[in-house]
Amino acid sequence: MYYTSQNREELVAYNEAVNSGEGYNGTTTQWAEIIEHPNGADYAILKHPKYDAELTIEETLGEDWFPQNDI
Amino acid sequence: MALINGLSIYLSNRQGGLSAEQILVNAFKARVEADGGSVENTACLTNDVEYLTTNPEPAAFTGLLDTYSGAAAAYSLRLLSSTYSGNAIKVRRASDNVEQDIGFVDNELDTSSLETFCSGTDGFVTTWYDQSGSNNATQTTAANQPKIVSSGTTITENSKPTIQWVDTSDILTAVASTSISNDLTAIAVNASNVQSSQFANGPILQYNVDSSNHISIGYRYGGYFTRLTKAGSTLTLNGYDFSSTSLNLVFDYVDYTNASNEIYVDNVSGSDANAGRSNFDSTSRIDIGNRTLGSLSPQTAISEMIIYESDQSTNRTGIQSNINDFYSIY
Repeated sequence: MYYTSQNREELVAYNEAVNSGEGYNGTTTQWAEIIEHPNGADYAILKHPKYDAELTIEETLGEDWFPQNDI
Repeated sequence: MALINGLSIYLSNRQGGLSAEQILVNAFKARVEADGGSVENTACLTNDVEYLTTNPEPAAFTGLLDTYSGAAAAYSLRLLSSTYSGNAIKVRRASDNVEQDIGFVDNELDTSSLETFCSGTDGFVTTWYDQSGSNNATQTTAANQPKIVSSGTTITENSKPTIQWVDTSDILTAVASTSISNDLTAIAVNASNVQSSQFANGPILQYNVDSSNHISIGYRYGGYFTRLTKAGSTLTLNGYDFSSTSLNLVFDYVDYTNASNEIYVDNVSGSDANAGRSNFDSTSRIDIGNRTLGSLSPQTAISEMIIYESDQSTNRTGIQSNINDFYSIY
């Protein structure tokens, strides 16, 4: 499950909320990374099972999210 | 100890009627006295000999890296070197995010400590320690850490612990050389997850030198692939075409100079040309279980990954035997 948004900051805030709640320490420093769609306008982040947000939720991200260039 | 054992066998063949321990005591006492010394307490000596003969030292451990030295990086859930005294992995448990190092017991992963630590919850690998040096493979982002414990139980393949790349974003990363003038040999023990989605293919190992030079070895729906980018030109090298979810032993020697390779899966040579998919950036890094840019893990289980920046093809049979003897793959 992923949260998506065209406002990257919303997803950054979600990530920080999870980080704060989970209190990661040691090697682990954050919950997840923001995924940027190749169109440059859409963003996504993996949903943490324990943390909900009022964001658009997607079951999975389609192949269009991931660059295919093989060099 | 070897001397005592050997002496015991020798003397037991010569002096019938006496116990092996008593023969050893007598021989030791005679030797001390011949050297001008004396044995003040024979009973004490008898006890020592009895202890040593009933508690012999175990046979010295010889790991894969002892026999086949010179690895650039070596990650495993079993001990690979008699000189390595560190841990196998560092694990984060899901219940409270506390992390703990897990070492070895009897040269294998200490699953008892691992499961006690995880205590019914999931456990994720934050660090896979390099047994050949200090090039540890790490992941600082929780969502990208592969799993080793599921609900308190160690994940296994062929009854041996393994690490499961569960999510398409899972990846462990170490540092690669910043130049490549030598060949590369990669040996992996992994169980591939055959899927029909776009994520069915992806690298189990990417070795990125710089923006123009990369080696990618991976799994795609239908087999293994090898891709080499040399001075900006990408070539598809020999792969191995089959579909299986069983544990595989992949031995891939890439001849960088001649842009060719030899790949063996379960000791069978592959010669097809699976295209596979990969993606690189300009950073010198080793990526395990995913491409450098992430989001394309073949969601494989990996138990061992050894990398040599050299041609190990002449050692292939021996290395494979060492691995297969432990994992019972083929």
